[in-house]
Amino acid sequence: MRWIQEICLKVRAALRRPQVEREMEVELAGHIESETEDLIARGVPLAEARRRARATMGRIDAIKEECRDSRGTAGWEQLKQDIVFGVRLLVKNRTFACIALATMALGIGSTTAVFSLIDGVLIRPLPFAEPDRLFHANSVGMLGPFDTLRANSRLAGYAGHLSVRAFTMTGREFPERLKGCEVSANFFRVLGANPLLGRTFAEGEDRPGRLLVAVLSHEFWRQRYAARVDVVGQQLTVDERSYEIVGVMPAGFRHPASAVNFWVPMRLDPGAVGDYWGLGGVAVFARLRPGVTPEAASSELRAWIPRIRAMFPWRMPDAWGTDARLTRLRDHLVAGAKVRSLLLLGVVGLVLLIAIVNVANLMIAQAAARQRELALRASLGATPGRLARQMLTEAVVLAVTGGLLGVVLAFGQLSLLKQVLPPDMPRLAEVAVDKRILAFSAAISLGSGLLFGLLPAWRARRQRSLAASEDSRATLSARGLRIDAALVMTEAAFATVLLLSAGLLLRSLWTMLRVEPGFRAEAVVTAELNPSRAGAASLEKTIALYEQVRLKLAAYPGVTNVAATNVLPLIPEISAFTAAIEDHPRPPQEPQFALWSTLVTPEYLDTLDIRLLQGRRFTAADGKGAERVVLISRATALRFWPDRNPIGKRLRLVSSSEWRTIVGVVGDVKNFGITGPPGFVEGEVYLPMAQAYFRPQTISLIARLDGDSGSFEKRLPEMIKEVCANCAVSRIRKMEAVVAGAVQGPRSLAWLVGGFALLALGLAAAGMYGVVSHGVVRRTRELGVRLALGASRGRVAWLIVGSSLRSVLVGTVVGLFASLLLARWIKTLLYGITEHDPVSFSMAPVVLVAVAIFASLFPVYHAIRIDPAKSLRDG
Amino acid sequence: MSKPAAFVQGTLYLLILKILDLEPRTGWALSQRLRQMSNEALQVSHGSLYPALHKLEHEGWIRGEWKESDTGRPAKFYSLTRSGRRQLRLEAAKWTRLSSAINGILESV
Repeated sequence: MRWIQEICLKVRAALRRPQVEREMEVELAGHIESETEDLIARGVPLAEARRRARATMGRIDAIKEECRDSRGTAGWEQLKQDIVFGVRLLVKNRTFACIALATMALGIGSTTAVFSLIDGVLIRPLPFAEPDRLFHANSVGMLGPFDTLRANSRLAGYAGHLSVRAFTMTGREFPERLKGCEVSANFFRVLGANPLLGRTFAEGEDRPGRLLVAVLSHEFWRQRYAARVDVVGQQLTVDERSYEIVGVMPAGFRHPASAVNFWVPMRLDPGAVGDYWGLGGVAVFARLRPGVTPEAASSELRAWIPRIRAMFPWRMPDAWGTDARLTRLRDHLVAGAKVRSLLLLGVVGLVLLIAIVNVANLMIAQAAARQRELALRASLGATPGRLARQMLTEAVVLAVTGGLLGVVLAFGQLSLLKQVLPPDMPRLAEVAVDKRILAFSAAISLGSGLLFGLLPAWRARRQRSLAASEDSRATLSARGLRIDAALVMTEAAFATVLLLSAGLLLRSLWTMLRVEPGFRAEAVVTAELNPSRAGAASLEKTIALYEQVRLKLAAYPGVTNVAATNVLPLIPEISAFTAAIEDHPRPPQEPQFALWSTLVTPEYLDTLDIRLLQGRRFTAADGKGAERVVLISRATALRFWPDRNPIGKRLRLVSSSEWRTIVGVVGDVKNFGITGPPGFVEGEVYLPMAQAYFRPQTISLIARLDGDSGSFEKRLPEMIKEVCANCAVSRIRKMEAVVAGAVQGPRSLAWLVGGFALLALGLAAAGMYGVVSHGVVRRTRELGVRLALGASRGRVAWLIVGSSLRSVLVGTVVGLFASLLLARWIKTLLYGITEHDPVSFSMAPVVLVAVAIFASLFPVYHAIRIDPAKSLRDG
Repeated sequence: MSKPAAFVQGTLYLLILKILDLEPRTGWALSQRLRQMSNEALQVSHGSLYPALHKLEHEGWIRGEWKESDTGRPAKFYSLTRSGRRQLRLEAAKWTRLSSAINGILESV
C-alpha cells in the first residue's frame, strides 16, 4: 500500500506545485539577501557582496531542479512537461509525425490483430467449466469402446460426439439442409454447459427405444424461431423424423463446430453389433474427476484397451488402441492451427520490429536536426539523464499515439483476417478484441517506444554544451555511420526472413496449384442432393431416385453428361474401408489394407474426364444382382500388382464375405485433397453406387455442359423439385470452385504472409531510403569537398550506395542463416518443396538487394548533383 | 563551493537534524551555524543544502514554517518533527557505531 500513499503525496504535491515553486523562489532569494547583508556587515562593498552571495549559491536553476528532485515531484512534473513538449513537437513536425505514426500504427495494429487471433485460438481457455480438466482420448473412436469406457471409468467422465453432418429439414416450404451433431446423452454435462432454455439430454436418452429429442443452438434458435421462448416442446423434423425440442443452448456454445444448428442424442445400441463395434468417427473426450491427474486417467485408459479389444465380436489387430492416451482437449482442437497462428505471430512481430527500427532511425535524424536545441538545454543546466529522459518520453508519446491508431487499425485488420483465414480454422468465431488484447497493445506500444527511444536517448546523454558542439557540426561522425549501418543491416535481416517465409509458402502454393487433380474441372457443375428418408429408404430407392434426376438434368440443353458420387474429389471427407486383397494375405493380428473408396455411377469417368487406362467402365448392368465389380487407380495397380495384370483380381471388405472383381484401371485422381490421402490409405478403389456397401445420405451430382453453365445452375433446384419434392439441394457450385477450395487454406496463409512481407519490404525500403538520404544530407559538405577535389560523380554515387549495399548484404546473409534455422518450423506447411528450397533462398536476397538499390536511387541522384561551391559555402 | 569529497549525503542529513534539534532555523542561519560549529572545516555548498532540506521535509522529518525573521522579511523556519527526532536518534546511533568501529580499526592497526 506504500505506493498508493506515494502516489497521493505526488498528486497533492503536483497540485500544490505553483505555491511550492513560489515559496522556493522566496526562500532562495531570502538566503542570498541574508548572505549579502552579512558580507556587507563584514565590510565588503555592496556590489561585491551581491556577487559573492550569488556565487555561493551556484546555479539557482540547477538548485531548484535538485530541490524538485528531492521533493519527489520532479519526475512527475518533468514527465508532464516532456509529454506536452513531445506532443507539441509532433504537431510542429507534421511530416515526421505522420510517417512515424503511420509506421507505428501499421506495426502495432498488425501485431494486435494477429495476437487477438492467437489469443482466441490458442491461449484463451475453452468456454467450458474448468476447461483444464477436459481431455481428448484418441484411438477409441468407436461406439462400443466409447460406451464401455463411459460405463467403467472411475477416474474420468467420458462423453463423445460424431462429426457434424447434414440433416434435411422438411415440414416447411422448401426442404432445407441443416447441420446437426449426434452426441452422447452426457455430452453437455461433461462439458459443464447448461442450457439457456429447457434442459439438455437426460441419462439414457442415447439408448434405443427412447423418444427423439433435440437441443438447439442459440444462433439457430434466434434465426429460425425468432428467439421464441415457447420453442421448447415444439417438433423439429429432420430426415423425416420428428424430434421434440427440449432445450436451447446459450450464445457462444458451439462445440464441436461453430456451424452446428442442433444436437440430437447418438444411438448406442449394443444389439446392433455391426454399427456398435464397426462404425468409427466418435470423438471421445473426458472430464477428469476431482483430484485425478492426467497421468492416472491415461493409465486407466490404457489398462482398459486390452479388455475392450477382447470384447470385439471379431478379432482386432493386437496393435489396436495401443497408442491411446489423453491429450488436453484444447490442444487437440487447435493442433492444426497452431503452426499457422504462430507463423503469423512471428511474421507480424518482424513487421513490428522493422517499424521500430524505422522510427528509431527517424528519431535519430530528428535528434540530429535538434542538435542546437539539445546543446542549448545542456548549457542551461539540463543534466545528461534529464535529456535522455526527455528523448525517451518523446519516443513513448509517439509510440502510444501510434499504438492508439494501431488499435483502431487492428479492428479492421481482424475482420479482414477472419475473412481471409479458412473457415475450418478452429475457434475462429471466438476471436475478439477485449481488455486483455488492449492491455497487450498498450504494453507493446510502451515497449516499442522505449526500444526506439533508447538509441536517441543514449546519444542525448553524451550531449555536449552549446560551445563544445558548435564546430562539431561539419565533421562526419564515425559513430553516426556505424549506427546507420546497423539499422540498415537489422532491417535487411528481418526483411530477408519475412521474404523467405512468404517465398516458401508461395512456392509451395504454386506447386500445389500445378498438381494435376486427375480430372477436368472446366464446365462442370456440382450440387449436393439429400433425398428424404422415405424417398431413399433403401439403396435401390436411392438409385431409382437418382436415375430420375439424371434423366431430368440430361435433358437440359447443353448438358453432355450427368453422374453422381458419394463424395467429390478433393474433398477431405474420410471415405474408406478395410479390405482383404487377393495375392496379399495378411496374418490376422496385423491390420488389413485401408482402401479409399468412392461410390460412382456409370457416367462418372466420362463426366469428369478421368482416363480409363485398362479394362472397362461401369455400366448400368453392374447392378445389385450382378457380379460385384470395382475399378482401381493406377497407383493402386502398381502398388499391389506391379508386374501382373490386375484385371480379374479380387478384393473384399473385411466385414463381408463377398469378393469384388477388378474390371478396370483408371488414372490417379486427387480424391482426398491436393496433398493426397491420409497415410493409412494404401489404395484407391471405385465401386458402382448400385453395389454400395452402405446407403449414401448425400449424393453429389456432377453435370458437364458444353457451354455457359449460369442458367443451368439457376434452374437446377426447380428441375430437381419437379422429380423429387422432398430432396434438399445445396452447395450448387462449379467444379472449379471445388478445386480452388482444396487450396484455400494454403492460399490464404500464403497471401497473408506475402502481404505482411510486402508491407515489411515497403517499410524496410522506406527505412533504407531514410538512412541513405539522411547520410547524404549530413555528408553534403564532405561530398562537396570530394567533388571539388576532382572525385567523379560515379565515385560519389558509389560512396553512397556502396556503404548501404554492404550493410544490406551483411543483413541479408544474417537473415538467410536465421531462416535456415527457422524454416523447419514451417516444414509441415510446405508441399512439394523442402524447407530449404533453393529457389526461395536465392530469390529473397535478389529481391531485397534490388529494393535496396531502388531505395537509394533518389538520394544518390541528389548526392551527385551537389554543387561543390554551394555546399562549402553553406555547410 | 564544492562539496568535500568525503562529505557523505547521509552525514549532511544527520548534521542538519542535529542543529535543528536545538532550535528552528532558516536555511541561511543553518548554513552559518554549520560553518561555525565545524570550525569552518565543513564547507557545505548552499547548493546542496537546500535540496537536502527539501528532501528531509519531504520525508516528514522536518517541517517548514513561514515566519518573520529578525530583518522583518518572511523566511522559512525549519524545525524538527517527532519522526525527525526519532530519525536523529537512529542516525546518531548509527554514526557513533560507525565512527567507533573506524576508530577501533585505526587505533589497533
